[in-house]
Amino acid sequence: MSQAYPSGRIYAAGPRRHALRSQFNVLSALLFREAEMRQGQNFALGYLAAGIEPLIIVGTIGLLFSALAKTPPYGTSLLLFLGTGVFPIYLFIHTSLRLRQPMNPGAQRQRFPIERPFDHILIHAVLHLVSSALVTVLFFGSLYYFCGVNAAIPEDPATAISALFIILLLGIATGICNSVIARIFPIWDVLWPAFARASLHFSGPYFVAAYLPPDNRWFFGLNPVIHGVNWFRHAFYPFYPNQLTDQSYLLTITFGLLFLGLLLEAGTRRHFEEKD
Amino acid sequence: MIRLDTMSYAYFRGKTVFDGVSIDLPSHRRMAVLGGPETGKTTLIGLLSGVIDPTAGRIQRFAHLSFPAGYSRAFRMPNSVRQNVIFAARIYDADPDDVLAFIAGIVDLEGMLDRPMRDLAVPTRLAVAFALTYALPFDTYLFDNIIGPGDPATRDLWRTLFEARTAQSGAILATRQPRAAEAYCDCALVLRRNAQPVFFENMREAIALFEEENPAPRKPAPTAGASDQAQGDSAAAQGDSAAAQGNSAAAQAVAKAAE
Repeated sequence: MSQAYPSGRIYAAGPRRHALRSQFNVLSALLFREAEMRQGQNFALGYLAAGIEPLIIVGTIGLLFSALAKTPPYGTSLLLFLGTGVFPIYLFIHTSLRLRQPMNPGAQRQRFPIERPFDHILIHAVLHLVSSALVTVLFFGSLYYFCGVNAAIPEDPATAISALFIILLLGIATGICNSVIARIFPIWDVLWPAFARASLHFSGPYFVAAYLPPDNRWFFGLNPVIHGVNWFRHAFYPFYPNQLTDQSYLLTITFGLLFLGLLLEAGTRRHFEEKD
Repeated sequence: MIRLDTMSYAYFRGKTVFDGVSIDLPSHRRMAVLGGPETGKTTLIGLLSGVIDPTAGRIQRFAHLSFPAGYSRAFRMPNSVRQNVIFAARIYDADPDDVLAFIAGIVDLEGMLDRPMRDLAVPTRLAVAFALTYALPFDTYLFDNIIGPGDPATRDLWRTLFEARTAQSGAILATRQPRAAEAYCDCALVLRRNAQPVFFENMREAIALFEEENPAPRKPAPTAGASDQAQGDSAAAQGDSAAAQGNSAAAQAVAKAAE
């Protein structure tokens, strides 16, 4: 039989480059495959489709507020105020939902041994970031160009980007914790999306949290996402009230959850490998 | 070389399979993993390939080890056969076109290449998985019991592929059949229950120890009794190995006649 046996291109490299190269191979192959897939279905640019949801929320709340003839709670543009709230919140919600998928214990059994769980986490986070960034830039850009809202271009882009980055990290940390909780209580997979979407209303997309009565404000301040939203709004509104922008609280919660999630995941991994 | 460094593995329910095993295994030779039932052959293949992680200790792989041959769990069912093969070729650093051509030359896919993986018949899917294993370049190929899927008609094909790949690379074949070990391998690791595994350069000695641990089921009663009484008696062990040699020689003769 005359078969041409494919040969590796990897062997010219030394062991160190070998490791880097195979890491690169795994990440690039995963990136292109996962970009085409969503929830196990072939779906062209499936990740971009997730960006439609915050657009619908902004549109419906905007419509409702216009119908009620309410003035924007802050600033001059209602859509800008809603957008600066809804987009960071949805970055959190979607990241915390999507990251349960790569950490699913059943999923690790359906992979080649060279793919590690954290390759999948990294790729899903990057894909999510790219798709959210595209939709966000599109939204604020079109507000600026078509609606003439000059404030839609952030005065302080560094603040906007760092706030979004911390919210993304918070979403990743929550997603890892959720994946562990869902293994113990499978009903969590149904409850968490409901909780996450309901939390939208407590994260201040359509009100200024700092204007709440001080007694209630303290309870709203427990929600870390509200701090991220306010942080993000500082980039657009230079004089935005900062009573509920405790960046150290947000960072503490984020890294605490990240640590807890990784610890729980490492501690329970073997138990769940055996379980299913 | 593959170095097991005080590696332990226990199932979560508490059954220990490996307890602090430290041993160096060859990666560029054809090694059999001989062991009776429940001595951890499949577990060892899983540990070496990285499908499961050791409970304690570590495995240092100074070679590029394959996944267990015929590993079809990683296929994504909604994706086409082509997408799955290209993905595997990419992550294992082979040229996707070469790998596709290689698989198409072995498995008759009849235009199924662009259909979803779930449309393939199960035997075909398994054949694709084995063809993929042989198509990808590895230093050491890991086999659990079989070198190719069933079907007597294609047995020679898988044998040819095995020989061609292991001419350059190594292979580790887990089996409980001394005949298979002798036919395919030239050194062996013998796994024993509640004891450390032993590596043998010489296949005859390995089979001797294996037969001592696992007396052949169809042995006549008096012989079995004798070997039980004379445990630790080297003469009995040698007698066993001679018998094993006779068996395997006969098996090889049969195999040659078949060819």
